[in-house]
Amino acid sequence: MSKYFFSTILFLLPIIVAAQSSNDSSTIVPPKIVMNSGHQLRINIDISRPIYNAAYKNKTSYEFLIDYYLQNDIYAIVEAGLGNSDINYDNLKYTSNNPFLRLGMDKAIFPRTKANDWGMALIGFRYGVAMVNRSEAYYTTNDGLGETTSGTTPAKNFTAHWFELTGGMRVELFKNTFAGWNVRAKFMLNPNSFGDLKPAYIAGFGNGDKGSAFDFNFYVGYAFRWAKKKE
Amino acid sequence: MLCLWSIVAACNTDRLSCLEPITPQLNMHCYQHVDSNNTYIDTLLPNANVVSLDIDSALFWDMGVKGQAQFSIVLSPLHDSTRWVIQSDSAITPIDTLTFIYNRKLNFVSNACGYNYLYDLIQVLNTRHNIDSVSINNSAITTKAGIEHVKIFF
Repeated sequence: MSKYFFSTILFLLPIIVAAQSSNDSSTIVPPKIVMNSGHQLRINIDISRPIYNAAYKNKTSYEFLIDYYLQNDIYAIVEAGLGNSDINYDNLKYTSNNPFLRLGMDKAIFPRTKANDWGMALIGFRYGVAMVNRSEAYYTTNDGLGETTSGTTPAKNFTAHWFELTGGMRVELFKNTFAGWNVRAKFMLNPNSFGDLKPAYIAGFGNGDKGSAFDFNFYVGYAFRWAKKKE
Repeated sequence: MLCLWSIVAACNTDRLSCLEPITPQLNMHCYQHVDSNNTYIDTLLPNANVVSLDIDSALFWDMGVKGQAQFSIVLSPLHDSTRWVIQSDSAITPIDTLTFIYNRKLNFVSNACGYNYLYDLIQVLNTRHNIDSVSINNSAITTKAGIEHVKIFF
């Protein structure tokens, strides 16, 4: 019997506490912050890409991110970029290049405490699309016994679609100047539409051989701000 | 942050290694009929030779293999047929020739591994010096392991 009594008390505890709070006139209620903070448009450049480009000789990419503050700690996101790859293996040779576009939203995890507080930890999602041009591919097969064949696979253009989940941070280092990073988990939506030869690299996504990819971006950005019109 | 970057960078190497088999193997299993009701049992070849007639580098594929019932061979990607010779006991028995007739299909494995050929076995012709008959159990010759493609009855 005491077990049920204890459970009932536990279940009702929030209600009891709420009732106590509402009746206690001495409790200090913090003033509600009205975020009449105006507009912010932030342009970010991924400065990790030139480092990747220097490290990996067979692929190149450049990425940009623009976010616009909507309301309630939500940002509209537009990302764009381009890249290419040059596959020059013993048994496979081709090139590919593509521009890409990603659209989505970010949500700040912690609510802003001040109107001029634009730093944030974020989570978000993206839809990505890339128009990939793959050149004619030259291949050689080897069965391990010295019997080799060679041939070509025709050039192909195709569209890749993917979905991303992302998280990251933005810190305002100086007035209007930001630095931050994103980690991304990407999931290809149409992995079977690339034909016989899946591209080794799709700029904006990653390894086209696989249906999922992980990525990291490091951004520096500049924010343009302007006040809301008075109603 | 540097750790995250390092992890992601480690996964983005210039070229991944090819870690999967790319050469399809045709698996043969030797049997012996025990009665007229199509009942058969494994038969271990006492001292077998398996020799390729068409693939030079596989000329002496299995030589003097004792007490074995299963043999894996390869097919030539250059032709639509490949001949192999089987001798169950190199000291006594005559040799038999198996001719495998197949369709070739070019297959993209991955960027790391490139292309290979898969085969669709159409027919197996055999001489009957020592072999009684041959049947196709699974015609798809791929890189999957553990599949019995051809039954050889002695």
